[in-house]
Amino acid sequence: MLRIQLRRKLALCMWLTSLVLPGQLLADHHGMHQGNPQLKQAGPLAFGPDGVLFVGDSMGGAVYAIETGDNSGTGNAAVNVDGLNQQIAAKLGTSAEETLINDMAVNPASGSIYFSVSRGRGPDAQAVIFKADAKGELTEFDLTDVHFAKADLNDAPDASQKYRGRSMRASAITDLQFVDGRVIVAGLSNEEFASKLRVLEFPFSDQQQSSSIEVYHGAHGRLETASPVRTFITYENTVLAAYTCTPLVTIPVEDLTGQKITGKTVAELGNRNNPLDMIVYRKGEQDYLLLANSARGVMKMELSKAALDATESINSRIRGTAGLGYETLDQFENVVQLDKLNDQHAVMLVQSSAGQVDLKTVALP
Amino acid sequence: MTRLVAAPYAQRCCGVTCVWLAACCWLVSPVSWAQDADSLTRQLSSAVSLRLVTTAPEHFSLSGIEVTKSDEPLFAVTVDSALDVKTPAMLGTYERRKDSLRFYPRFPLSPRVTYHVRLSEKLKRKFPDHPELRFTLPKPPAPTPVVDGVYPSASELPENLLKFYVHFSQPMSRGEAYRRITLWRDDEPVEDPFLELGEELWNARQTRFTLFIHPGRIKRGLKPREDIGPALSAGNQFKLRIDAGWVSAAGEPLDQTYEKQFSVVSPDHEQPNPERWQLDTPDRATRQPVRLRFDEALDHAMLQRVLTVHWRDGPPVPGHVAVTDGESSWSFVPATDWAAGTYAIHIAANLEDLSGNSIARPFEVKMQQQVAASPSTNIAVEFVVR
Repeated sequence: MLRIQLRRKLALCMWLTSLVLPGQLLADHHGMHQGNPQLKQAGPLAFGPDGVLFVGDSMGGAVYAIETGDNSGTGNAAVNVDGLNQQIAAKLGTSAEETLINDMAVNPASGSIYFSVSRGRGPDAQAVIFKADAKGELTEFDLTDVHFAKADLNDAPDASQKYRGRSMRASAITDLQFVDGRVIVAGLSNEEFASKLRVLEFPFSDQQQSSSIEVYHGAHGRLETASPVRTFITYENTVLAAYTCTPLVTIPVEDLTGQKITGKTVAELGNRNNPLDMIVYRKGEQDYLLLANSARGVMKMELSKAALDATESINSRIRGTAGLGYETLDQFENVVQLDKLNDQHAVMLVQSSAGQVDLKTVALP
Repeated sequence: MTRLVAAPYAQRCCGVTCVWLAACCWLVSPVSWAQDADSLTRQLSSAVSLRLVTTAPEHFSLSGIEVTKSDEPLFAVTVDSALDVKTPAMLGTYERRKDSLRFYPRFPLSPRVTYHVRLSEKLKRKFPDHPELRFTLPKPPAPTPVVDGVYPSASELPENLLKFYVHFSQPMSRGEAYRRITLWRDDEPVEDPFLELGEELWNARQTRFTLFIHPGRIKRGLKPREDIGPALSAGNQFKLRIDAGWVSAAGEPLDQTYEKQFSVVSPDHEQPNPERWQLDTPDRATRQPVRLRFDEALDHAMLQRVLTVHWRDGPPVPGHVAVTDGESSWSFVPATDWAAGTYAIHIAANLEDLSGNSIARPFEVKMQQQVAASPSTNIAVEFVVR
């Protein structure tokens, strides 16, 4: 009886509270609250369920989950915007030189394309999200009064910070992905050569402690080194990751619970190169990986779970290419961002040497 | 008071302009204009004027004209583009008043950007001799940035050096670091020596940039190093050059090109070992430093952060840290005089040397090697003040 009375009182309190509390305190879908996410920087983007947008904020040391409410559409139309950076800069009332497009992600629930943007290049740059619809019409995704949740990534502040002023240590989020109810975040410190993947359960909770996994790389069977992840994607319960030192490795998703993992090298992406972005898609009965690189163009690689499992880790000194084979696609040049638009098309950000960034839709090769 | 979202009609307007014309319009504009501390005004007629108000909230105001409810705003503001692309109108909101129409930009106006106010077709007909309505906010004075220092500061560095820290006197602009920093060997540029990250590794104020040497060219057995060798090779002279074209966040270029010259010696694969360090202890009732002398240079940034002095098990003792002698010496001066007693210097085991070898583990671990400590472990060095 007492419990029932308490429940009734609790329900009454909650109802009364809902009448008097401002909107930002009210919980909504996926444990989110209404308000204004105070993004210090809009960096890597990824989409989760129901049009939930994840935004990596390196300067704020956090990942935000933001409900876009953008759940309808097909993404079947080709979207092309010449001078995307100039178009966005003009809307922001500044020059293209003062506008950085940090990442691009397609919302699979609507086919709209989202861009994380910095207005300005200094420490006070403003974080802005833009959206391109099927007609290529650009609109700002307004972050006022949205439903959002925040997961802090920063370690506890140094005990000495209080006496020595603000620490200069910071972490850059290099990529993030949503996988089976978890957000996986790759990052790199600006001091120690840290190599951590953080795994956040979604919906986020206030008390959440993200698990942090040291990532290593075994080279030629003798030496093992810490290896920050530059970009990654998941495929068949496997993380496919490109390390900053360029090998492409696999890490089973089920291993993202321990304290340390060592990726299995399945391909070497070559010297004078920097992997930038990747997508996985299916064409006919075959899966493929498409990988954009700084110097080696766009690579296409046949994928299968069986082939990944069967590939022996490259652990001998490399001459030429080894492991999984890939084809370099000459038709794509200067691609800096990639995402899958639909089952037939991908969108790319192509940057010219003069600095112009174009959005292009291409048929999946 | 009605607020409208800016209509994009200006997208149809020609966006071809030039900055030169914009600059000259101040001098040759056929209409009268006035400038005071807070606003820039252009007269379209004796009664009608367009004003840019630069005090908060910044806005453009067209006044002296009857403003009726219309689907088309009477003007829109665009940014002049140096390229031949049609640019859309700036984001912002309109506020209709009795005899004026105001436009509040969504974002603060930027200095050095030329804003072009485009009149509606209706107003163009009414003011056929309308001038080029362009506004350029002057760049506020800003200090010239200089490179305050590059760490490691030593002139001899190991072949497997992992990173540089570049300190600036002013917050710098993001997005061009890897164009502005180059590595030279005997006056020949070294190809692709750095780990280039779109995110760039800055501190929060953007006064310190962390530059990693490409790990693929440090780690033994990886393709980049096997194919083209290490970025730094022992026995050679190198220069790290920071180009004077790099501008601060306020748009000011560096005072001059900065060069750090150094020679490269054998790689260092050994971990820092606190047992080889020397300790100088202070006297009671003084503010003498407690000093650690290392047998090698350690990471400049981490030395500022990961060593703390504690009295017994208490919180960190407030004070000031100094890193000297080419990052091979660390000292701490307390904020108040030392009291007699036993203290401890807590040292995080992830403290690295110049090659990324930490107290906890070497940069490259032999596969079967057991590492001594977890990177999260603290090491304590005790000392007594008498």
